[in-house]
Amino acid sequence: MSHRSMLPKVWVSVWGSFTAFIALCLSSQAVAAADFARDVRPILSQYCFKCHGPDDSTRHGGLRLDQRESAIAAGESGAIGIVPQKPDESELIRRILSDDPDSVMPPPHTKQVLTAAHKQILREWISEGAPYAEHWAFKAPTLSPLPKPTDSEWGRNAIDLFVLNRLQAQGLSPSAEAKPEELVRRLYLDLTGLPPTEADVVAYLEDDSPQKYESLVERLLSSPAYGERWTRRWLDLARYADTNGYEKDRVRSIWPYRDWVINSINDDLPFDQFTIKQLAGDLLPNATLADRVATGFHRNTMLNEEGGIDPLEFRFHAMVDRVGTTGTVWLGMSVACAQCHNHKYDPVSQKEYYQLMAYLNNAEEPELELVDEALQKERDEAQQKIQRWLASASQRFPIDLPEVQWQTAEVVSSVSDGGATFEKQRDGSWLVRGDVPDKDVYRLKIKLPKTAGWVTGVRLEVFADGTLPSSGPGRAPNGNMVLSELKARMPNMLSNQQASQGASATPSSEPAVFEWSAAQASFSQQGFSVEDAVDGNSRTGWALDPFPAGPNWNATWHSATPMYQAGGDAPATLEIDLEQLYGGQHLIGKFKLSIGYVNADPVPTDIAAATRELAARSLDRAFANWQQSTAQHNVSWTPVAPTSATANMARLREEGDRVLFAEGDQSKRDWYTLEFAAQDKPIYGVLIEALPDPRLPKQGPGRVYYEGPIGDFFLSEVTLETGDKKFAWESAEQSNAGGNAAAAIDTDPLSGWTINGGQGKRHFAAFRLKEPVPAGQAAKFTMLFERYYAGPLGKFRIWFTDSNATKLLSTLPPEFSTSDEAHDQMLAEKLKQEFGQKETYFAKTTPLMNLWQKELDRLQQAFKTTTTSLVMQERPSDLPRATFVHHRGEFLSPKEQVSNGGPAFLPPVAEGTAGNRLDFAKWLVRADHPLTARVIINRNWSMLMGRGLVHTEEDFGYQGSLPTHPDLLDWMARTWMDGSGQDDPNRWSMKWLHRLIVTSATYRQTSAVDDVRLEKDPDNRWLSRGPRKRMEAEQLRDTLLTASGLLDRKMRGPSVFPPQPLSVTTEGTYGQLAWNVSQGGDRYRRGLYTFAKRTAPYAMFQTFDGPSGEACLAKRVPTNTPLQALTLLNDPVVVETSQVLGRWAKAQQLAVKGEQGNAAANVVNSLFLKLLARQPDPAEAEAVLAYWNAESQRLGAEIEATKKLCGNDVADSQQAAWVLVARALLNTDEFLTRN
Amino acid sequence: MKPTDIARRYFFEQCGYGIGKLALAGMLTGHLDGGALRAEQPADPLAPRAPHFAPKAKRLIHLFMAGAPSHLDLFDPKPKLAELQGKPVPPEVIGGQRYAFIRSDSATLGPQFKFAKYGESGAELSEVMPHLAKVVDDLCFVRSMHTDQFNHAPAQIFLNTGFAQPGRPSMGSWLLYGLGSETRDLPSFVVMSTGAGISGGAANWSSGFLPTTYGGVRLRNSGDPILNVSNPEGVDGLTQSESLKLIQKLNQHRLEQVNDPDIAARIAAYEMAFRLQTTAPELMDLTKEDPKTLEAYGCDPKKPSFSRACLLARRMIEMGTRVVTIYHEGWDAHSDVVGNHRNNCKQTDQACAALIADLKERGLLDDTLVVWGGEFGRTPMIESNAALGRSKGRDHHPQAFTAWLAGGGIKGGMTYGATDDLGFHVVDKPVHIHDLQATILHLMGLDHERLTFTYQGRDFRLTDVHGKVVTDIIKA
Repeated sequence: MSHRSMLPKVWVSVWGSFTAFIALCLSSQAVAAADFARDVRPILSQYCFKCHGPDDSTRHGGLRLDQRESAIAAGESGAIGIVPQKPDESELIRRILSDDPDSVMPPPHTKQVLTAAHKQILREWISEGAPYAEHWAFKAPTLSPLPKPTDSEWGRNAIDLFVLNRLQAQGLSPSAEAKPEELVRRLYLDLTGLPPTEADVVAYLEDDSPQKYESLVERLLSSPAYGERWTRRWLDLARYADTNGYEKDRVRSIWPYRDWVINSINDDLPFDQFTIKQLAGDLLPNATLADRVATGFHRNTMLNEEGGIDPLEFRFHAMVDRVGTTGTVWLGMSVACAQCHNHKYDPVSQKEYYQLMAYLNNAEEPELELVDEALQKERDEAQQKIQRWLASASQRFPIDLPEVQWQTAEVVSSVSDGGATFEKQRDGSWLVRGDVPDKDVYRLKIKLPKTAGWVTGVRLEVFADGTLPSSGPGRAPNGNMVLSELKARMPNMLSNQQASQGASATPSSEPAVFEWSAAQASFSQQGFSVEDAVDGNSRTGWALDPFPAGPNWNATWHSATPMYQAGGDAPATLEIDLEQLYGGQHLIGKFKLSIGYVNADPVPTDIAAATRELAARSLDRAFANWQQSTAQHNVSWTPVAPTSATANMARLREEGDRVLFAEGDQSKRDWYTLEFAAQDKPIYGVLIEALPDPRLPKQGPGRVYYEGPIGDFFLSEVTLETGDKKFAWESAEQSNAGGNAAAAIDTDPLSGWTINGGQGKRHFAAFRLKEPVPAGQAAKFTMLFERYYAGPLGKFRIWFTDSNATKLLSTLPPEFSTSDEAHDQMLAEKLKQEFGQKETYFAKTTPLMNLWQKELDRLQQAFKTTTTSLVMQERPSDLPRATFVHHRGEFLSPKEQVSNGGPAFLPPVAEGTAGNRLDFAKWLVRADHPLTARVIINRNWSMLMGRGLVHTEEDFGYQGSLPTHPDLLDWMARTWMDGSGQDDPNRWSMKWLHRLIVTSATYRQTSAVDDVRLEKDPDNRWLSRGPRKRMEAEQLRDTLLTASGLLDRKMRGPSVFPPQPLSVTTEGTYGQLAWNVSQGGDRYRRGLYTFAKRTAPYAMFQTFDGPSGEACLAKRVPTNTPLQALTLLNDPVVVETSQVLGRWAKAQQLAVKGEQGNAAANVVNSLFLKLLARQPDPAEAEAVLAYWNAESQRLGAEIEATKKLCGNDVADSQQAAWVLVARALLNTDEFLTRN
Repeated sequence: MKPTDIARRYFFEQCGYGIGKLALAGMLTGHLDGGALRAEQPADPLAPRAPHFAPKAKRLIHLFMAGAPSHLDLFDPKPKLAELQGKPVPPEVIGGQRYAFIRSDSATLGPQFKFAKYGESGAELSEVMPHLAKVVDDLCFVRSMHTDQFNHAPAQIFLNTGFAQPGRPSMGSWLLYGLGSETRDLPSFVVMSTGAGISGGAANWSSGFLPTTYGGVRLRNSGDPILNVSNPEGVDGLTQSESLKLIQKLNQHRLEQVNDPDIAARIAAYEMAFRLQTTAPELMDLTKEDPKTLEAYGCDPKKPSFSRACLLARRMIEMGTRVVTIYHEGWDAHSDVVGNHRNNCKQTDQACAALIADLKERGLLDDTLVVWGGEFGRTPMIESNAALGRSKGRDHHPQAFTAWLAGGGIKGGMTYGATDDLGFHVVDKPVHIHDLQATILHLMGLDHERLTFTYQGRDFRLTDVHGKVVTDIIKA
């Protein structure tokens, strides 16, 4: 038969057979007894339940047809809906047969019409006594006995017995087994999402082992690619994406959740655990970091950050999504229908819907910082170092005392690595002459004074000079210089012990190297600070452009420990290297060195003690000066605890030391009210100390989590009242630059104090009153946070002052100026850990320790937030969130409050109690749950077999289709859940399930179909052939990349940006995202890792029916569009793949000896094997060769086109033709299909 | 012979069938038996399908003024508002309405432009729409629009899909699903964007849970107008057609072996793709347009603009495209409503009027429905906020706004519905978003209650369980 005449026939027959099938069912039912579940309930459900079903709010005439006892009872009119065995007396039959438009059912306005066959079924059923049966999917599955089909030859495992049984009942037989090469490709694509390489195919074909198929299955199941493949499908359900969705669609970090899924699937985490961890991992005893990351499942809901939204409204929408998604994923039910009203078809009431929501509604939604063991170790070490730092701070204080003399160094030797010469000037400076190398090091030896004493530091002065380029001070054309590193050593310094023995001692053999505590300069170029000259990094350094206020500039480095030298006739030498390695002749042109020196007079007997004394004296002096300067504007503050702290939404709780922490929900207009008992002294001012905390977004101190600056707050107004009197504010100050505390007392709620940029740190705002609150009066302090986003404070402490100073904030934090003695005591202890003692605070801030403070900053980097992931975190037990029934599902219409509870038609969630989210998760996977196992197995079956045993994979309710193989589904469900006992590792094992399916003979059938099977089994519902399906979007891209060898197999990590037209994420999109194409291997990662932007998904994936991540997707519906053809013909990914294959093909051609024609034919064979895992048949080979010949000849004259096709400036027309051949093969139906 | 002709001849002579012949009688699931007996995917999802009843409109051009224009300054003059300028709106008027940015006690802001009456119908229009004034007798102004949503993304998605969160099919998708496609040379549901970024994003033209075949196709301003419509570098027309011949031959061979009808559909898709490669450049080539037409639209053929988009829309519907949506986002006048609306009208007014006139002149207006409007209106209250640098603006207002419709069975020269003296609430003949959707479907020949798709156990509609056709504005 030629295709011309065959095709239309195929199509007619597809349709014809379908309608025939319906007719067959109906007519056979009319003869045999109508089966309630199979035949009757679908009709009642579709046409009747909307008004005569479970929803009592819309029930008409008091007639309820979904339960037998009410169906056979009299309705409001007295008529009886169903009179068993008496159809003619049944109102139902009367009404469906009626010709009267006012009486006929369903009513004409519903536009639903019953067919004659429907009416006949209902009639027959009532005649039979109108038996009802429990819906199949609401009963726990039982272990079906294995059928014994007549042909026992066929079949490999239990699945096949059930399938063969049904095939035979339908008058069908199984198809032959697919060819081995087809099976290899099918298995690879199904289990790993990647195609086999040619070597894989050849190895399989050449394997003689009888178990080679099973071995391959095992190998693929244990391949890391397996987890990636099955994760992608799970992410469809989890509505995973890397952005928040809606208008702004900002980037979020939740890829650790994606990686958790990959790991779990590869580890074959049993599905019951997989479920529990994702829904309630945080509630597991001793929850691990991974358990908490797993709860990202329900954090994949969208977050609306559009200006001015009501955050609680969109939180409610997220909750609705969570309930609906849970229903779809685990229950296979459209639970979501009951959001607005009782379910029209299934036994889920609106109240039950909100009871289900209550389980999920009692969680906070933080960003979890991923502190793994390695990071924790790093932090512990950093913490220890910081402790050591603090402990040794005083010992490293530089000598800055009046007795330090800065003496011009006596240079006794000077050498330039670059060949420059040094010319001593009369003022003790040196002018550098001669060669001007690109880089240089000046090596200087300095003779120290003959008097014993300490070297405390080094000073470098550089000078302008008319003989230097642009007058210097450097030798670069613009007069600049860069001192990369300054190194100082004392080679013959005496150790302390030696020194104490006097001048006779032998110097130490190891030179003493200077370490530095502080660096100061008269000027440093931006980005080239004086500190950079002693940071151990020769790429950074000290420079001077634009040379303000010459003619000389200086830098001083203070030693961390003064170096003692004994003096006398053989004084120690000091070696100083001035390294200038920046390049471009950035060399010093004229300079002078000085050393800081303290004479030891008299020479001490205990040098070590004398050195310590020197340092201590220096510290005491500096500290005293500092204290004196700070005391000048020091206002004493007293921390105060409120007697009550309330808020419109949040709960404010004192967490010790008068610090308040806010928890709970927040809105666009929040206020905190703090009541204070009468004070002994008048209140002149109020100070708000805003505190960071790891629990807050970006560590706080604010609670902004969307739209605004994350971790900030917006303090609109503060008020202070006593009784009836409101006290006016005089002035306000804040500690953070750019903040404006005055905006919080300007009576304009639209302006306020914020700390953006200072997240993770503490900040202060102080407010001075016009007149004080007199002593002895209770006071009420109110803070209003109002913005178009929710922005209250997360953690804070209030302080009062009785000082009437004009300036309230000093450079010192309030705890150092407290007037509360008891508190002072407490602080002394507390602050040791938290903020350090006063001296430590000084050490952390004095410029005399600036180099060392840098080291501290570096240590503290270990505590900066690193990777985060969105998680669920159950609220404290004393702060539950209430859940309400919402009238018509509307956010603004909350009605009665509900508590946790499962739907009545399913087993109870927990015994004797409603349970919590963890109980709910466990309930989903309990052994007598009728839905979960069936739903999950059916979905996985569909992914492998192309179609679910229950075709409506997302609906197992009354409206869903009935299983084609109910006994098989139940057998699998029971076996999967129970295994051979509790310890069976196959219990709930996904790998077990996948293994079972792919090793069945059913799966191994050929997907080619003959006319008979196409007619009798057009949709393959009876499994009379193997599965055949176009590849999924990511699979297709991965397959292209595998074919060309470009695929980068790196697993996990942040999402990547493979090439696509940049306009996809910018043109017409509100939340524009610059698609900065990833470099290197990240261009070629598996599709699973492609950055998923909700409002503008990766174009190729969208074209091939990939998800947007905006809603739970239970099943991808493959389509077939011209846009897909355009993508496969012209997309850069395909072009690049073809070019690689073209190069490869040309190389193959050259490698094969023999005639030109044979070589080309061999290449065609190889390409087929590479791309389609098989050899071409003669017709195919001929067509492809003819095309290749024609194109190579034609392109011989098209040099430019040839170069472009080859992609690497090669004008080889044969190679270009191979590029085109590869491109054509990549576009064949067979290539993009899992056959 | 041109390469394209060779390929075309190949398809028609060698393959011997086009997609139309492959198509099954289209079936809407709503017509099929329920429950377990539900039909599966129609074989050719884009085969033309008979509507429920004779349509008044065959095509839809939706001019989506995203960001929400102010009805008070463009279409719905309120002298009383000018009188009350500076005074707060009484709380009982405001009710419990939530606002995005302003406080509900903000003062009123009077109309910012002068209004006059135009045309025989005497339609009232603001001075910033001088061109539209010339075609008012073809337009029906609905002053009584209202919606449920007061933020952009949800409101835009609501207007397009009948639901405020992403995930449902858009109106264009429903129309393709219900009616199929009249062309195989161009996408049948095309989306253009000429303003700022669109708040609702791709969800606005998504096929939702319908197959992606029904999704809107972006006609882009930069690069390929349709992604990948150009051949790769080095591939000329002849190479492309020869390559397709080989692909089709291999696919045909495969079809004979495997027998899967999907392969036939794939063959047809490649045929269409190839045609699209020819028609897309033809569509974008405006050199053959009458210079007078270009002038009338105010269109520079080389530059993407709202004007060019309108002209392209007309060209596309001439070629058989069923739904064109042009998003012009930028009306979100939280500050300086005067400057904002002047500017937006400058960009859109002339082309809107030219489109109506052009369609009329070509006899296309009778069966082409044109809809103009935003996702909600703007507040009678002023928005000013020094901290945000805003002054003399208006906030979002879901309670009332104006849209206009023309052609495709709409009565021209009429104003429908009314708002109160402040333009705050609708007081006469309210038209909800679902009503607008029902009306559009009705004009296209579809009963919004019968156009359903079963998903997750439920029959979904564009209008959810709501929507009434506004028969008053439809020609008898």
